[in-house]
Amino acid sequence: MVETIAVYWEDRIKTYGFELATGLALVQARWAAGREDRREAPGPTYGLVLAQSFDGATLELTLVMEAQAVSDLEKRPGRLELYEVTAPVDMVHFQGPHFGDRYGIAAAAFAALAEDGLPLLAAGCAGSSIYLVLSEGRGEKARKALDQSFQVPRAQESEK
Amino acid sequence: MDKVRIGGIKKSYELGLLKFGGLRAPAPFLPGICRKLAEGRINIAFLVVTGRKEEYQVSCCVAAEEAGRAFDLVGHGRGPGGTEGRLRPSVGLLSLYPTRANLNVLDLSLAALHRSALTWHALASSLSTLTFVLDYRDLEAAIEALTGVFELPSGHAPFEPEMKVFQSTALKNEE
Repeated sequence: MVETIAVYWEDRIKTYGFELATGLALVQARWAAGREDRREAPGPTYGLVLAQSFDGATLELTLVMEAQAVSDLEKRPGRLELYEVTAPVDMVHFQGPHFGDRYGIAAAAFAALAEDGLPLLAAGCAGSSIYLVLSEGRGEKARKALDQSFQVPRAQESEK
Repeated sequence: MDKVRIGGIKKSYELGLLKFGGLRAPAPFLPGICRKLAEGRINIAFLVVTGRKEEYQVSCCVAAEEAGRAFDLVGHGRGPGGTEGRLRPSVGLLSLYPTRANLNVLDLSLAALHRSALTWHALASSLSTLTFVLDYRDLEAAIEALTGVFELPSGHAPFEPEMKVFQSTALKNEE
């Protein structure tokens, strides 16, 4: 494995721009190994899936999906047991150079939201992506708050 | 059953997992620990925040060699809005790509790991990837389990990570 040292010279952390999706559903589901698998290709898609286990056995998933995908899933849940759907919710996600390899990215993002009093419903940082799930109407506010801490590409800047 | 084709599987280098539960809300705890890790120049390689009804959890991975220092920096999870945390010193990430955000890929992955009695600690998707956190010693077994249901391209790149980036604030000739 190659080890390398990177130095970042930025006034503000660079991103490839922010993506805001609204009108989504936040789904809490259990994955039940013993249930019948009735998969049908290609299957519904998600915008985000997160999970964590504290006891090594609980398989509870947090999914962010389009309303239609939730409807499809409710008809053919397979091994997923949906137990709570919160809708609508907003989701902001963004990527940036070497996110995942450098410190301070998550700190800047969560500080920006906290300073504007924007509570999170869920969040995930994996690879070079950051996903933030917020209540309806708070996505645009979150994007504006993040704009203060992060640099967006000029093309997106001009769209504002 | 035919295997489902995916583009590849990648392992991370060894990480430590910090877990915090029993939070009434992500803030102020989450911004607080992330700030402390940033001040300690510790990179967060993976992070998940989930919860409902004033019961939130946070899972956070940092380089294994930094995990003990990271856990100390965040006061073991105690502090504003926090509770006692847990440190798992040796975990790794296993990323499948591209998954096209397809629930079938998620379901197949969970089933494969379950059949092999492999415990995962967290998972998160990103643009085209599904990433699991498992014990580092279990990564090879997990690859074996997953390649039982997913077909990888011939000439697949090595599973091992190819690069590890350290972040510095100074150029080498200035140090």
